Amino acid sequence: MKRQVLLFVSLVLLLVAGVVVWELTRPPVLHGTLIEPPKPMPDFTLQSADGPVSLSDFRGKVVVLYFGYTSCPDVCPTTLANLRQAVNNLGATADEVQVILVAVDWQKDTPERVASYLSAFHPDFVGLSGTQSQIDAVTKDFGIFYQINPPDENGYYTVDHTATTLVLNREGALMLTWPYGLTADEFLEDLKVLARK
Amino acid sequence: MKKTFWLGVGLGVLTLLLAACGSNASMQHDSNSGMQHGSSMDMPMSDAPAAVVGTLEIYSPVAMSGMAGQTTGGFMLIKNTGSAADRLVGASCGAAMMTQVHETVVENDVMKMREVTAIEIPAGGTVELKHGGYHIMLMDLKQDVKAGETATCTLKFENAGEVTVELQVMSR
Repeated sequence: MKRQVLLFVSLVLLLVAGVVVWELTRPPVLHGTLIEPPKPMPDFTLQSADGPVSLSDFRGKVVVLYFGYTSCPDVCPTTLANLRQAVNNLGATADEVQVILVAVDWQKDTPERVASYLSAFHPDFVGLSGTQSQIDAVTKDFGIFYQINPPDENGYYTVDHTATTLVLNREGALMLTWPYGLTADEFLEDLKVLARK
Repeated sequence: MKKTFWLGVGLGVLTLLLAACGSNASMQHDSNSGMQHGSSMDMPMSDAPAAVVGTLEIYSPVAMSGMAGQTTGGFMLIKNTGSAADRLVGASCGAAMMTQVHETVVENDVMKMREVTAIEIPAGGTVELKHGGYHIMLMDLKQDVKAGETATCTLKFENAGEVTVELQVMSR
């Protein structure tokens, strides 16, 4: 009888051990969509309020890239506010992450205007803008759709744009995309995994 | 021997459950988290309406801060306590050169905003102007609109008429 009990208990323990090992070695679940393998992206140079800035300036950091515009009252500020909250909760790991906003409204968004807009969010966020041909080239390279809609009789217009946030790895390759609607906590959890040293 | 057998089974099942719960806890989210837009800027609904016109009650009117020349958004909850539907047909905010009512639509990952000429407020129903949906667009701000201030807007309803609403300005 003792032997049967011993055998049974050992089997249970083996099963438990197996489950534990499986849990520990399982890859983390990310909220964004992983790009496997990461897709190398072309470099670009755009204008910031402090002069020209290239994407490759940020090699070595995880880059969070968002395309928006400063007169966007809803989707852009929501995403940027959530990114701010996530970055603020990263602690020391925040040094490994660089958030960049590329303003697609080349008609109105000067580098100064973009910098002013971003100052409401986080001092370390970088804001970039450019000419029509520069914005066309960058958005095309990164698979981002944007459209400056025709103005109304008063000259006001809206800008349609892809609301997805892109995440590039330290070598400048696209490794993850976040759909619009993710919360600050979801950004934070993904960044903790992606930006760990 | 039967006793020990079942003890072993019980122990095994318990451990499996604990292991499963342990892994889920780190991934567990509020079931609403995926749908929550602008979570950092959500405001709880105030108990008393901020403004009343006819059978319509307006709760928690807020606007986001913005700089001169920028466009910012206004949000609120409109409740119709009456037995007849009404429609929001216009808005005008003193702080903006132009005010329109818009709807945000995210389609195939692309964000679009479209002006709406009327929003139906159903009888006995509520309509929320919130991030990711309807909002008041305060376009081309005349001056900086700072957190802590109020932005005065006039809302126009088809049946109830006009009402002045003070939007509380919140930081982005």
